[in-house]
Amino acid sequence: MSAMLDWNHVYLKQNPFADTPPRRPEEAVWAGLPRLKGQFESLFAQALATSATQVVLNWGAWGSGKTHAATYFSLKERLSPLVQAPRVRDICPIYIRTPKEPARADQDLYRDIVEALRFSNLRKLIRDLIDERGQEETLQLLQNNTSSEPLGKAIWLLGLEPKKHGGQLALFDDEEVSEERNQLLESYFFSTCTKRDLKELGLSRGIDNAQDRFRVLGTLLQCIVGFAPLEKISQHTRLILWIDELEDLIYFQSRQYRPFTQGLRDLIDRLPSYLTLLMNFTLATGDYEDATVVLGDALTSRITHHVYFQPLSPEETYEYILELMRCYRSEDFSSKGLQVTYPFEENALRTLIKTITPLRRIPREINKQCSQVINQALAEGVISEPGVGFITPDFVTKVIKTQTALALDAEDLEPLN
Amino acid sequence: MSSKTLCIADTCSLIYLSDIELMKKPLYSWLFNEFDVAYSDFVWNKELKPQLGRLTDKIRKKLTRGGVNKPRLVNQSQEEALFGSFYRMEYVGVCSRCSQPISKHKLVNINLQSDTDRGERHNCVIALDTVRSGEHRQVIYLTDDYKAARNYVHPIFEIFPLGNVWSSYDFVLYLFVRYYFLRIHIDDIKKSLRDITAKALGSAKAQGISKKTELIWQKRFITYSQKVDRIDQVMQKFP
Repeated sequence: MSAMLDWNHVYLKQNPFADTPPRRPEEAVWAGLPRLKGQFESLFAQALATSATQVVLNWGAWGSGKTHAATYFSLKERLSPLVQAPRVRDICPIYIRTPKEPARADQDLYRDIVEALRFSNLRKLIRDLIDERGQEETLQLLQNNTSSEPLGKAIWLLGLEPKKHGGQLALFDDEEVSEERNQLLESYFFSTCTKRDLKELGLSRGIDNAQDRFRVLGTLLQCIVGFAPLEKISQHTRLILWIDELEDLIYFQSRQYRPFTQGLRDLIDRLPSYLTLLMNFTLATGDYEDATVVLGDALTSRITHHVYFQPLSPEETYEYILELMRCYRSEDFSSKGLQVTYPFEENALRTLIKTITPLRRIPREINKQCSQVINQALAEGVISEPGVGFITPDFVTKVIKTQTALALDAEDLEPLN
Repeated sequence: MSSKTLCIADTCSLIYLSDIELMKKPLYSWLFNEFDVAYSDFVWNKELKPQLGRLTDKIRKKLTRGGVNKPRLVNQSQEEALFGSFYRMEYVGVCSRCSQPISKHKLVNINLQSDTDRGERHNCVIALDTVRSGEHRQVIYLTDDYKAARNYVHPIFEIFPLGNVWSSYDFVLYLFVRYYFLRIHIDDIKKSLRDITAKALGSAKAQGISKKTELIWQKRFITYSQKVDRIDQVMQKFP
């Protein structure tokens, strides 16, 4: 069977019609959808050249390409060429998913972002800040930013070089002990340290609640962004935070939903500059207002842009499929004199597009149909050898009909819907 | 004849309502205050009793107290009469032109010996028996099992004018209308809608849930939140 399903028979290096987005940004390709790509490019061009914080709601049907866009634009190299100087000194893209355990949503969001930032990066940034401003001024800056002496001090400790002799931190005067100190501090940030650890670190209290976590997070993110005067664009880093699957807020009970969304709102308010927060939201309907019902006022009121991942027109679908195949064509395809629609006859491709109802004309559904039809053609020997055989309109109709009937039977097995 | 309307509740709804509060009072308390509550003997013995441990003492007492709220026996011949030759909309195929599913009214053979969905069938029998006997003129059938409602309850209520089929969302909407001028605030109602959704999805997730089903619940939540806004608009102006 696996020998039969050799995509090289259709002059493709692999199946381009994946049903899930690629995991690594380097693997992501952008096919078709020029308007959508343009919207993001203009958004990021603005992000790199100005200081304004952007809060973007990306909304659309399930499978419309939101996660794919997040993956694709998570690569710095794709964003940097969008603007010339003056522009921010660096870009820090972070991708996280909405926590799946509502009862500990704020802890999980905090942990995911802190882990994505990496302690080694944070240590270096705060060390640089101390070098630039001195210990006392940095401590004050961080305490002011967190609005808390112990929380600000804990962040400051991250960047403090262990002293060789004397002073409170003399304990950590060799490499091994320094590593131990780092672990102790990291456990502080994950709220897993003991009272004794707190004493050892010289901190009066831990990170106790959701409010503390969002305060710490706000300051850690500010350390990434930088503390230079606002107008000095080239002395700041643009933080691009994607939060995927925000529709999962529907799993949150009101007592879990409120602190989480208010925490996010506070985070936005704490970073009025150089933050681009992109929230991916799958919506069952095609009405933007409906998304705001689930998101609630705290978040909705902060949204500055929204991007609709709308279903494709038949012509856009056609272009999307061709471009996707072009990205994965094997080198020898151009010399074979085959149609660009190969393995489809042009009419077969048009037939396939017609079978997809307008609202379902989105990348996941298009990919699914193309993949099923080509797989079936390979399995049935419609394409027996490379370049031998075409997919006809009749074959497309036959496969789609069978698949629709199977899908409807499977639907009946779902509980409580 | 009782002065209160009879509410025939399924297990799923009673469990949800015991876990969710409105104005610091569990929704089941609101339910028992507003209505006489009934359920079949089968629902009680096979579905509720095994879950009593999950419920609070108060609801346990209410459910086991008897009286108006005591479980009702359904005999086999009543179930056979109602479901012996049973028609409902069934999927029959795919349109050859547009590939869309086609449904038709079809005679369905139900295995009346099976316990699957027997709770819903017996509750339907109680609804018919209650109206036929004149004990109540109309009933409310409360269920949050949408699939069972689609398969059994709606086809019955479409033919027999027995009253209305409600979900827990509808019950919360009712409370909003009923107590609008007294004490209930729109934010509290919206919190309850969110809690019902989270509760239902949480239970469904444990059994395995598709994105499609998740989005059906999202749509329900949005629809009911918008209904609350509409009620609020009208009630603000209502003399």
